[in-house]
Amino acid sequence: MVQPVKVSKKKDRTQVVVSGSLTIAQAAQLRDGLLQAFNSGKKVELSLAGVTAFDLTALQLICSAHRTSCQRGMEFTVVGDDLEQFTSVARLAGMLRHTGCVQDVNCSCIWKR
Amino acid sequence: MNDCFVQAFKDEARELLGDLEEALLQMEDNPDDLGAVGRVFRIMHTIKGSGAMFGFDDIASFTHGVETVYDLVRNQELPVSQELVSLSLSARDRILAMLEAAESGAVIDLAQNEEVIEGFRTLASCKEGAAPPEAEEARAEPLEQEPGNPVTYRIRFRPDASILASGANPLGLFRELQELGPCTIVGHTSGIQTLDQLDPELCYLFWDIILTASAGEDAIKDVFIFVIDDCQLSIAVIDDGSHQDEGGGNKKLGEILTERGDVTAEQMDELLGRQKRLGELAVEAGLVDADSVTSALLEQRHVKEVRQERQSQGQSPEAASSIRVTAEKLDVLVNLVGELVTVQARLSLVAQELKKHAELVSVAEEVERLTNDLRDNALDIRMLPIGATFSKFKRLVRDLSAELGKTIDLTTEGAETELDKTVIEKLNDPLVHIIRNSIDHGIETPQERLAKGKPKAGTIHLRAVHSGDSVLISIKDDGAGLDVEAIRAKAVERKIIPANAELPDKEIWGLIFAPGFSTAAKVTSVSGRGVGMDVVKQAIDNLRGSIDVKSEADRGTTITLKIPLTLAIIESLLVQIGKDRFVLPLSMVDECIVLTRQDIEKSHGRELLLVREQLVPYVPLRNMFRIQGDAPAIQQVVICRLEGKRIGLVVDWVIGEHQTVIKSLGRMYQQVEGMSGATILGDGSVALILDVPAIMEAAEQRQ
Repeated sequence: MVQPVKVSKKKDRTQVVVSGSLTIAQAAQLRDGLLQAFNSGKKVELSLAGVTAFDLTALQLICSAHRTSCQRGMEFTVVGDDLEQFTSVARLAGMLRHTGCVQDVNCSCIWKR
Repeated sequence: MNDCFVQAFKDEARELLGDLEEALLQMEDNPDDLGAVGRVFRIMHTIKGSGAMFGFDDIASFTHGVETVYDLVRNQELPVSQELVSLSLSARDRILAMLEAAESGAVIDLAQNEEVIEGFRTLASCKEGAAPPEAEEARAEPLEQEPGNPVTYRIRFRPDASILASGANPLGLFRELQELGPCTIVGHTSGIQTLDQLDPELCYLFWDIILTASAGEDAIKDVFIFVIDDCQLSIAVIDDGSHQDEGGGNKKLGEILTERGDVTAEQMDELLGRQKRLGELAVEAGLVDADSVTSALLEQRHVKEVRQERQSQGQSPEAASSIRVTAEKLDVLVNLVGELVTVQARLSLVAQELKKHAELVSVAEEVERLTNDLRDNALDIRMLPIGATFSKFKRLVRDLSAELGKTIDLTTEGAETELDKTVIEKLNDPLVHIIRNSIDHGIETPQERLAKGKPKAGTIHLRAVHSGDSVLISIKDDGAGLDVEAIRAKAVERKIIPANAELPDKEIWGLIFAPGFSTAAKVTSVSGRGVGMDVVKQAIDNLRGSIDVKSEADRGTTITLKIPLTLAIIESLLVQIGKDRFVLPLSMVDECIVLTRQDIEKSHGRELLLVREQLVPYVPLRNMFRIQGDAPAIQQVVICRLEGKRIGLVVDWVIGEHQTVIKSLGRMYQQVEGMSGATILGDGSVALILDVPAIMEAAEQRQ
C-alpha cells in the first residue's frame, strides 16, 4: 500500500509529501510526519500537490504546523496549496484571510489570498 | 376574483414562462450549474403558488408534479439530463397551452398533460427510492408559503471538540447554508494548538456565519438539527431590511464587536479615545483576536453589499419599482403625443405669423420644448430590450438543430439594445425566417463540417447594436456561405436575371430575397418552399429598414438588418413640388444639391447627375407623380442613400427638417406606389411620406 504521508530529508529542507485523501483517517499520520520534520531542525516543506480530498482536520493541521513554525522560528512553506480543491475547501471553511493572525509574526500566513 | 388580478397573473405567468425557457436552456448548457436549477425550481414554485391563488388549479397541480422532480434535481439526487430538459420544455409548453386555453375557453388536451407528467414520473423513479410525483397528492397538499423578504442573520457556531470524531462534517452544513442565500463564513483559528499539543481528531475551530436568506430562522435551525446537541449555536437578526435609511445603514466595527459581546461598551469607549484604527487597537490591546476583527469586518461588508443589492433591485417597499400597463394604453399615449406634436407645430406656425405678440411666441416656444420632452419620454416608455426575442430563438435553434441532426450553438450580443415594442413584434417573423435558413441551408451537418476541418458544432451569432437612429441586427453563421453559382443558375431558371447577366457577388446574394426563390434541392419542413426570404424583405421594407448580405464560401454568411428605432415619429425632410408637400426620412438623406436647366440638358435625357466625380441617377418626382405645372428654373435634388446605393429625388423646393408623426394611409391608398404613409403639417394640410426604396426600385425597373 502506498504511504499517504512521506517524510524525506533534502539538503536544505525536510519535505512532507501527502498523496491521496487527507481526512480525519490520515490526520494522525500527517501530524506525526510534520512533527518529525520540525524536529529535524531544517526548513519544512509540505507538498499537497498529490492530495485528492481535504477535510477540516487537514485545514487545522496545516494551520497548526504554521503556528509551530512561528513558535520555533523555523521556516514552513506549503506547495500545491493553489489546488482548486484546497482553496475551495478553505474558502468554505472560512479560513481565507487578508491578514494573518497574532502568531503570524513574519507574515507567512498560509491563508492569505 | 377580480379580473385585473387574474390578468396580472396571466401576464406574469407568460413572463415567467419566458424566463423558464431561458433557464432550462442555460441548465442544458451547464448541467452542473445549480443556480440555473434553482431558478427553474423557483419559477415553477411561483407559477404553482400564484396559479393556485388565482384559481388555475390545473396549472397548479400540473406544475406541482414538475416541481417535485426539480426538488430532487436541486438536492442533486437526480442529474440534469437532455431528457429532463426536453420534458421540462414540453411541460413549459403545456403550462402555456393551459394558460391560453383559460383565455380562449378552448378545451385542454389532458392526455398530453398526463404524458408529460408520466415522463417526469419515469424519470424520478429512475432514482432509487424516490417517490414519484403524484398529481393526486398535489391537490391535497397545502401550498407552501411564499418566502418573505431576505433577512441577514449572524450565526455563531461553536461545535464541541469531539464533533469531527463523531463523524459530523461542518463543511456539509456550510454548503446547506450557502443554498439558503449569500453567505459569508469566517472560521476562528485562535484555538488551534501547535503540533505537539494538537489532537488531530478534535475540532479547534468555531465559526461566525453571516447569512442573508428569506427562508426564516427555522430553516437555518433545520440545517443544524443533527448537531444541535453537540454545539453551541446562536442566531441573531442583524438586518431585516427595515432600517434602510438610518445612518447609511451600516454598523461600525465597534458596534458589531460590542453587540456580539466580544468587547464591553466601556472597553470600546476607552479604545475610541486612542484614535487609531479600531481593529488594530482591539487586537493590540489583546481584547479580541484578529479573527474576531476579520469576522466583524466581513459582517460589515456583507450587510453593506446586501443592502446595496436590495437598493439596486428596488426591493424595498419605499423604492418605486415598476408598474404593469397594457400595451394598448401605451399605444394610445403615443398616438396622443403624436397629435400633440402636430398641434404644437401648428401653434408654432401661428406664433410665427403673429410675431408682434411676443408673449404668444414665448409660450409657443415653451410648449415646443415640453412637447419634445414628452415625445421622447413617451417613445422611450415603449422601448423594450431585444433580449426577450433573442432568448426565444435559443429554443428555436435547439429544437430545429435536433430535428436536422446538426449541432448548433446560438450566441447573442447586445440583448440590452432597445427598440420600439411594435418594431420588435414585427421583427420576430423575419428573424425566425433568417435563422431557420441559416440552420437549414447555412450550417453543414457535423460530418461535412469535420470533413472541412471546421469544429463539429456550428455557431449562429445574433448581435444587436445601436447606430444613430437605427438598430443594426446581424445574424452571422459559420456555415457553408451562399453558393453564388447555384443562386445564379436558379435566378436564370426563374427568369429573374438574363442568362448572360454579369453581376457582382453582392448583387447575386441579394437575389435570395427575390419572390419565389429557393435553392434548396429538397423541400424540408424547415425551409425550401421558396417562401421566406422575400417575405423577410417585405417585412423589413415595411419597417422602413434595409437588409445587407455578406457571404464567404465555407466561412459563413452574415445578414445585417438596419431597423429604425421607432415607427411612430421620425425626423424627416420636408420638400415641395408645385403646391404639394412631401416628407422623406432624414436618416436616408445624404445631401441636397441644385439642378439647373443646363444640368438637365447636359445629361441628354439620361437622368444622371455628376456629384463630386460620381454619376448619380435621379428621378424627377414631378413627372413620376404627374404633378401639373412647370418646374422652376432651379430645382433641388435630394440625394438619398439606401443599401449602399445613391439616388437623387428632384423636387421644387426643400423646406427643411420636420418632426413627422407617421399616419398610415387608408386601405384605399395602401397600394399607391412610392408612398408609405402620411403626416399632418402645422397648417393642418396633409403631406405624403415618400417610400424611397420603392421609388428606387421603380426607377431601376424603368431603366
